[in-house]
Amino acid sequence: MDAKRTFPLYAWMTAGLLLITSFTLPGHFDIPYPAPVGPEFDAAQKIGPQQYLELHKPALVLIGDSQLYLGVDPEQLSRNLGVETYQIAVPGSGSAVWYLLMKNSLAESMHVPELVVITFRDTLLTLPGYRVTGRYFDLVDDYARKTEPVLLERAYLNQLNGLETAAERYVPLFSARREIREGLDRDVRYGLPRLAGCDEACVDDGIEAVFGRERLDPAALSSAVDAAQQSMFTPEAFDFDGQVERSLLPEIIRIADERGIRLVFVRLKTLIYPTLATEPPAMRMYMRALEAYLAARGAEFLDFSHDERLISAYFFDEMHFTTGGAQAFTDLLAQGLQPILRP
Amino acid sequence: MIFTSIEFLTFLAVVLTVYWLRRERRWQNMTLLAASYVFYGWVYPWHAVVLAASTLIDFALARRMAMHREAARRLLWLSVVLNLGLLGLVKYYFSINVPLAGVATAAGLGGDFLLAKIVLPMGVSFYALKKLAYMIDVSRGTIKPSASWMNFTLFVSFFPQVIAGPIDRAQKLLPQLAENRDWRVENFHAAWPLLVMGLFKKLVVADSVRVIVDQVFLQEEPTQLLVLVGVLGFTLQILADFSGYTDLSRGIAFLFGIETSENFAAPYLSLTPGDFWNRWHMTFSFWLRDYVFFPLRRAMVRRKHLPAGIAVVIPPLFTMLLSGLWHGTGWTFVLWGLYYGVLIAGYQLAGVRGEFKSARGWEKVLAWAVMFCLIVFGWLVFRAPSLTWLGHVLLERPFTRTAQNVTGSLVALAMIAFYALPLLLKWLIDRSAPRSIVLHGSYYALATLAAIVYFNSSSPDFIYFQF
Repeated sequence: MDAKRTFPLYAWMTAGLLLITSFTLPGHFDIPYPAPVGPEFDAAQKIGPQQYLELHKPALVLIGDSQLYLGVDPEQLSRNLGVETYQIAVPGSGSAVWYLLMKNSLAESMHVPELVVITFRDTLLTLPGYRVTGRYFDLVDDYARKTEPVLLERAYLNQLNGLETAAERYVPLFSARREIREGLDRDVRYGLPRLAGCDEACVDDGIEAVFGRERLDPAALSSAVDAAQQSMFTPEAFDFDGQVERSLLPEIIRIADERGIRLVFVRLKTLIYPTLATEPPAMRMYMRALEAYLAARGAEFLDFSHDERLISAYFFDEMHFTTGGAQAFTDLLAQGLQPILRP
Repeated sequence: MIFTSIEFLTFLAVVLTVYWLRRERRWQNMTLLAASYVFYGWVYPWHAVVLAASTLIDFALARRMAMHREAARRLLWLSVVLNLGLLGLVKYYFSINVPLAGVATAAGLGGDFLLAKIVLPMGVSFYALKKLAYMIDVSRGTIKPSASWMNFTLFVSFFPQVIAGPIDRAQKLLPQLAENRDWRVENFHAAWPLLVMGLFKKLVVADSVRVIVDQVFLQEEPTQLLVLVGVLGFTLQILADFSGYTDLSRGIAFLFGIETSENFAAPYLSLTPGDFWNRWHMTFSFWLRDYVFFPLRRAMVRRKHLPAGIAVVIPPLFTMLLSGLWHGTGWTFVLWGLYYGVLIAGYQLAGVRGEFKSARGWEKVLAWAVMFCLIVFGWLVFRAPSLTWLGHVLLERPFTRTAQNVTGSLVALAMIAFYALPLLLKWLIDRSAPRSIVLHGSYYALATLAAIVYFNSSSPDFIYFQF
């Protein structure tokens, strides 16, 4: 190829196609111009938590992700503490979902629990952009209202740099890329099989039969998920002072303050850094800063991350407890919460 | 920083602007050197310290070699030990840290710190080989050691190459670094097609196919049909990813007026294993050829007492074993390396060396089909999560199970084929209409638009869509 002679045509065609798509795509995908940056949430919102709170009036509410779901037995905790416990464990969630639960469910409920416990690991509390896009977007959308300006800013817009933001606003091809990819994926996934008499349901059954989650090797999946979590352990993530005001943690605390909710943050153990010696110094500094921040704002902090009583046999992968592990941890959590609940 | 990020684009724009402010070698080299170390140490600055230290040690050793020829061999061995030691430590740290921690704890030394999950420096596999080639060539007297520590340090750390190659020789880069570089429009025209294709191959083809391939190889009990689909996907993915990266690397280098080596020459058109290794990751392959294979074979041929076939069999086996070890830890990589060693030795014993000479078209087609199957099988070994998994799939799993299983596998195959089509189309255009401005211009324009559509946002889990 003669690159020098080809370049003018290439440049004109690229510019021309960008111009054409700038006029056609907004109408085709119903996107305004300039396009709004960041995702749009639908008006539907899960109200189950709020309804449960008002119906059962639990004294203790637990919020967390799959570690909480598999790591704490709420009935056992209730028995140990002698109070009703409500567990809102959303597998795959991060601080964005926890913020939404505080804002749209707990703060809106007529019932104010005595204590709200938020379980977390490592630097999750100050990573607002963790697990909010791709397949995790639906989780966030479930608990978000149509308009969530703080969430939009901290979990989405702050993760983009200026060039990306400008491209999202002013280049319709870039703004509409999710829609275009989804459409292309649908056409490829369903188009050819349709010719062979396999409709959408037939294709979906086939995909589920082959790629259903239960077919995945748990250890391999755990490693893959682990690899995807590296953003939690970068120097930037460890910079607590640099991250905290950009995160949703101040908002969670503010909402709790306004409603008179007492907060407890519980750091869970993982086998990523099972002992203090294996933990990077930067992580230790982060935790010291986090603890001081929470104490200054009247929130409690319980740290089980290096608890030697939580042995490695209690884990079935790097993060999640076995049934026996959950029993052991629930007892320890109850011991930790008892003096806070009834000082 | 990754090449396909907005962060890198901003970095590149700044570096290019500063670089071309003055058409003077020293200014340009200082700019590139500073940029290379900023690039390499962007997330973990201590990685840049390791790079700098190992580079300066080799610079000093090479200078000493030239001044004290009688000590050249000893100094070379010192460099080999240091470079391979660093490489071995980085590659095998997480295989040895647990037993080492046990030993240290048992000895009362408190070995827990060895269990810390640190992020080890990237690119050591590449820059260690770069430096070793230089040191060997200096010891042989093939090249003189660089008098400029800045040029040598830049040669090793040159940011378009430092993470994943190409593994350029000093003979290629150092002379260019020793000259002033004037802006020429030819640089831009060498760069833009590489940059467009690099972005397209990585963002559109490799990243899309990877999602499907990863799902296949995460399965505990896949059928053989699904594994076949997965490995065909991986065959596409690894070529698109690696050659795309090389295209970006070369394109970026051209923007600085520096020409770097090609790394891929249509490897899936190979007719023999030797041919494959003359087309796949060429800079690495030629490194092995020049610094392992040829010296070993020469040494064995000189030993007349050895049986006839030994000099044919041992060099490829040993060389490809090293290749496997270089590519990764784990027995699958060792097996993959040995697999190609056996193939090369086998073809050579059968009288077929690098090129396949045949006048008959159908023989060439047959040779290609056989070689393609061998390549795909090799990638299966390479990508398998473990030897146990591989054995289980090959020996115990059924080819397919239910009709739904067949449907799901074929849908995945259709999606992989969809992403292979553009690369096939490019090959056809290059072959049948190499001078057509309209076809090439249109192709590159559509590839650019596709790259914009497939660009992932800076959020890390953007691509993780439900398959």
